[in-house]
Amino acid sequence: MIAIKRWVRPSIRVEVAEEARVGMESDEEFLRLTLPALDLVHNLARRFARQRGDAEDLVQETYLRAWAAWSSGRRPRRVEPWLATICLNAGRDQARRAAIRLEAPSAAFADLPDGVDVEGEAIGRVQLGLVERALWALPAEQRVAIALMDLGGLTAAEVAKVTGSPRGTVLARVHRGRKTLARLVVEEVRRDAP
Amino acid sequence: MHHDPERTAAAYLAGELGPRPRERFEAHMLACDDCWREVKAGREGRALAESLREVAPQHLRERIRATIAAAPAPRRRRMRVRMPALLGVAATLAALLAAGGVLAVRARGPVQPAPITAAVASYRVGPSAWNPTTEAPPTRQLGNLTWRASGRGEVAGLPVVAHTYQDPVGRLVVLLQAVRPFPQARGAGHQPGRAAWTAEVDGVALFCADNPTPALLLGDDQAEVLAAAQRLGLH
Repeated sequence: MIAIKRWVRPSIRVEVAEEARVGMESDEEFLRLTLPALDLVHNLARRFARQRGDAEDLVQETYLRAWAAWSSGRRPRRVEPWLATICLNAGRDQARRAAIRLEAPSAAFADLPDGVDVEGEAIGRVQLGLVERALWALPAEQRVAIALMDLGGLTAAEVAKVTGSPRGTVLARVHRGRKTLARLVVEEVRRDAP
Repeated sequence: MHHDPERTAAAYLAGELGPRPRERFEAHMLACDDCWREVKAGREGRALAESLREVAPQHLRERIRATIAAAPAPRRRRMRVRMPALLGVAATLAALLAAGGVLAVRARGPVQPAPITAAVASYRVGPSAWNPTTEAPPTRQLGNLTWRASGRGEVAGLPVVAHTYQDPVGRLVVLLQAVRPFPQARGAGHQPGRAAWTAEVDGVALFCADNPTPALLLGDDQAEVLAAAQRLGLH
């Protein structure tokens, strides 16, 4: 295509030259604006990929997709929800490729009884690995909503936009996910207690 | 007003209630066990979730910087070319194609150095392009890429060892190792002061570096190629 542009239209040739100049200027600008959101993307990616290496690959893919969009002129109003949306889509693509069923709860937390009281004292003894496993046991929608709000710091309105769900649905998913998370953790701690 | 502890507690914890509804709910909560329990469980779940918050490791930050630096030059204005201009290009291209085959060949893109053209062609052929060898790959697993085969051969007179990897959906990434550097592809993105370059040739993503040894990576997916380069420590 570059060769065609050279021969045919002087106006297009000018634009191609401008592309290169703008590109060199904008990759630093892109990184300056998007790297502060790396923690958010990383935390979200960790909810899509259990292995750290896979999560980091997903973060890289997110930034490459964002860079491609940026290069074609896209300038988001807020970087965090924009990157979260890209990460979400990349994570779903990755999950489809790997034929992972995100909805499948882990066997360790299946069929817990309802109505378990949450005990602050027990929670204090919980190891992070246990919380991580409990989070993975939640339905994917709840896990993602919690990752976006509690780990990413997005508002309910932003999560609604990122996930394409009504705000009330987002609030319900987050709240139910949090309750289930606390219940699963307490139950597991009790199970492990001597 | 309809009493819905779960819904109200969810809105309360998300800071979605206005000042007056919030005060009313807080007063109500003191006398309502259901609402109290909802808020308590929600808070505890939130605290647990927040305990998982991590700071991204420094090496990931550096990796993102390197990835963006190595990514091909942006094509910012390409989509903004007006339709009449595109029609003009198409019409002129049609005329050029009709005028002769030489122009048609040039229209596919810049002419590449012979080893690059040969490498891309061999990538399209697959592992059968190489003579089987017992040469060990640098690693059998590259992230989600699994080593499938190694072989020896030449790309336009440049002797290479080819290691073929495959991702879970069957896409290939091929690592070509040579004893002397590969020529740079035309149109490659090249960072000042860095030996590595990236390019896209006939739909194949390329990454090339001279350290620790001259190596050329080829794949269908640019992100996959860059991730493989990162894991191999090519620079």
